Amino acid sequence: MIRTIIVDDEEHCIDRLSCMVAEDYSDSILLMDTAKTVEEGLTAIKKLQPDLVFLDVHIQDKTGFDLLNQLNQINFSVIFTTAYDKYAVQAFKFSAIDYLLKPVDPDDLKQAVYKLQEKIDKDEIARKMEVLFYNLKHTQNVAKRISIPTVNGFVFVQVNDIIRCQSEINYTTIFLTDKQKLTVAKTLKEFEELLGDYNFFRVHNSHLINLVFIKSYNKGKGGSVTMTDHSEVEVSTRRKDEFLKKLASF
Amino acid sequence: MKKDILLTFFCVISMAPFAQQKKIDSLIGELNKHTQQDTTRFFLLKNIARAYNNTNPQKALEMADEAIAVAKKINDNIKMASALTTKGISYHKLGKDSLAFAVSNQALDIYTKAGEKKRAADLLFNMGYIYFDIANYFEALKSHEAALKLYEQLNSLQEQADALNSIGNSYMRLAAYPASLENYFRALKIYNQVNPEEPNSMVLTNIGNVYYHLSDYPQSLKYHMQAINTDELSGNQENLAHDYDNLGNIYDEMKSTDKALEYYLKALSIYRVLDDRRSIASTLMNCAVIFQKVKQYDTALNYLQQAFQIYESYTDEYKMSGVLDGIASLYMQASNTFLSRQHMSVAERNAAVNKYLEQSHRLALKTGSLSKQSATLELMSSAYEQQENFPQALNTYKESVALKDRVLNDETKQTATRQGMQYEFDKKEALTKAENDVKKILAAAEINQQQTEKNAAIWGAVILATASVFIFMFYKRKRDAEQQQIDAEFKTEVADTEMKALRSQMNPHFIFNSLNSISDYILKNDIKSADYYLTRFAKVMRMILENSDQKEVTLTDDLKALELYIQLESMRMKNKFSYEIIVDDDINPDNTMIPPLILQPFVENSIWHGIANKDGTGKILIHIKKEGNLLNCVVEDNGIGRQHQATEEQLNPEKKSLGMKITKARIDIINKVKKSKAAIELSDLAEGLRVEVRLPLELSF
Repeated sequence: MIRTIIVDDEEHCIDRLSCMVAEDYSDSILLMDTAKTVEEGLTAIKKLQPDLVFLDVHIQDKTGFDLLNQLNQINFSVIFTTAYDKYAVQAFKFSAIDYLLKPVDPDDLKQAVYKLQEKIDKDEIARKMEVLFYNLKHTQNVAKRISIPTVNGFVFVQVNDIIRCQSEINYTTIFLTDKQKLTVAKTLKEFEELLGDYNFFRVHNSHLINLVFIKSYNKGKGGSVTMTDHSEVEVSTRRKDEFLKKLASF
Repeated sequence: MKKDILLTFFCVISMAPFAQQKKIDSLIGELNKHTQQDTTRFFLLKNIARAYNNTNPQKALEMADEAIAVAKKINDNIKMASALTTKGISYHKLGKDSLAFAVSNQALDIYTKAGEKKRAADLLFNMGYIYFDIANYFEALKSHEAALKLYEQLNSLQEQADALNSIGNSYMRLAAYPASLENYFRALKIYNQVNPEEPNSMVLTNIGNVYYHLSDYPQSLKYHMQAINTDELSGNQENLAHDYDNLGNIYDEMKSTDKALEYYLKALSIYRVLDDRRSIASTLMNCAVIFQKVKQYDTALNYLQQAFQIYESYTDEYKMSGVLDGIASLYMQASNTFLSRQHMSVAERNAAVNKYLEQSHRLALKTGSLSKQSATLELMSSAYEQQENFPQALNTYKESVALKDRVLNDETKQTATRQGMQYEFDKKEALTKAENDVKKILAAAEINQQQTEKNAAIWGAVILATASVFIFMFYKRKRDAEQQQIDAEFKTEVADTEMKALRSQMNPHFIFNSLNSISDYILKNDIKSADYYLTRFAKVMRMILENSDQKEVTLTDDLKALELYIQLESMRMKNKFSYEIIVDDDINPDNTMIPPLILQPFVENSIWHGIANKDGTGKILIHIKKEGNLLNCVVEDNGIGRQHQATEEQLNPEKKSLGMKITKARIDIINKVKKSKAAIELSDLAEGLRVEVRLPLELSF
């Protein structure tokens, strides 16, 4: 049984989630307590030592992050819940942390619970949280970090250490400044969505590059760019104009 | 045997000691009379210190200290610095060089802060000289280069040349010959500029020496000869002697022993007049080498013995060891007739050789010079060999080689540093060259320009008239083009805004239609499935909101949203219809862009007007295909078709789809901006309706 606490400042949200849990997951999730403020949540977590906390992002005038910040150690899984917060969602995506959008879709909940039943490494939770807090602190900054799932678990990478990403069908290879390569089972599109706001630009169907690491642009039909690691990346004809515009404003 | 190459310097010739003592005595007399701590006393103290520096540096130090105290009392920083400078020289004479540099740097600091460039430069020059003296050539270079920079700022040519000569000397010692030559030549050029009548022999000699080191003897000879000419004219005996000595070396290398001997002897006679004993000894050694070569062993031995006596009086162990080596090798080589003249048997000769070499080795050990020790050991080894003492010969040879290896290691290190220095120099040189090139180009450009200007004045008037007509025409055309560009941009912007407005109209349209559906669903169904329906709806809503933010989305994204919408409606209608979405294989949905939600109104229409009113189940087919450079999006249903709809619309005109209207407007704008032929075409089927939306094919990559 997954010992669980729900923290949300709105009664109807708590009720709805409790109902869903009670109906569909009565044999796997044990709901121990619910809390409506950060303080209540803290007390409950400290007292009950749960395995899982459903944590609302906005709790009155505070946030779920505030709650976590006040704990010395996060040794439980967290699933954030939020109705509509682009900024928070972006942060979760960067940190590869689970979240549910309200109203909670039963299929999404099912998937989240399924993931929980896999073996969870406590260390990994802590590190993901670390990335999350780092990113929340460094907003609008290219010094952001990103959690990347690889075959051997998560790798935590600084966004401005990524030179470029290259797609290999459903995989993406990430080239880092220290000459390391990471292969990830995610599409290039997902990375484009994630990194688009951080000086990354998709110059080609299979290439996403960090504009910071462009060494030179070589003219041609679409042309190509040479990156600081001496790799040459083709620019597709259709992206040329937009790319040059972006480069000029960069 | 290695020969000495003398580097010449610009340095102050000191007075003979006894004259100095006389001067000091009179100054001390003055000092004793003048006890007041003022400027006069300061100068007296400083001058005494300076004089003592040549005879009694310890006393000089005391005087300098007192001068510093006076300067402090009268609060004169510049005087203080000059006293510190004197103190630095005293320390140097006492061999306390780190202290010398410490006080010199203090003085330098004061001069620099006070903006006393000349004094700072002179001080730096002298510091460089001291560094050179203690064989710290890197620091010497630094100081001389700093001095050079200041002299350049002060525009004092003579001093610039002196500094350049000194820089050349340091490079020479570091065996960075090209850098060395470069600086000497720069110095030579300036010296010639300052005094065209009388070339500077010092730098000529130095240049000759570099060529000597580079084994370019004809060149070396040429420059030494020039130096000799100058020195003969000016009657500078000391320099002349050095020149002759150097010339002797060159001729020796060129294997003309007669000439070599001639010049050595010339040098020797001058040195004897000047009573320059060190130089006498060194030249005696050089002569001995020649005499030995021409087998005049008696004379050679005599010269060597003379040299030994002189070095002995200086306790110069390095040289003494060298002379002993010379004597030993002389005995080893000498003929039997020579030995018999010396009343020596072979055994006695061997004993003498061993004795000399052992003595030489002891001295070599004292000097700490590995190369000297190695040279002596090598000689010892060949002596043992001559005496057929092979085991000893081998041992000493091994020792010698081991030492040589260590020396070579040191030399490798030196080579590395030297190469580093040469590199630095080349780099600097390249920079200067680049600068000069730019200057040259600028100058050439200026000359050209002046000529062109003249021509241009004539032609210009003619051309100007014609040009202005053209320019005006060109300008007008360009202005028109710019205006057009601005207009086009403005139009695009307007279109974008309109488009955005239309997209945002889609949202409420969609929301309220859906809310309607939900309310309907709730009335007809149980709470649980109503809730499920609602969460699905939330998901579609979220996606549509995100998509409508963008001008264009990928076909994949739009179809995903559309499918979710269709599922929602299908649920509401209790699976009254099925659906199929087909994308042709020649289309990459990830790379194809379409305006968001462009098909949704047609699908909605098909469901609510085509199928909802139909008896039995329906089917909706969405088919995306490529037609040339257009993307054809087909929405097909097997509903009741248009005729029946038309009647319904007549009955209820309010129901006319707002979504369709908005979509039509959007397509019109697309056509305007992209000059494309996008169009909506409706055609009736035997059963149902087909809508074809043709859009310009937009690929993302």
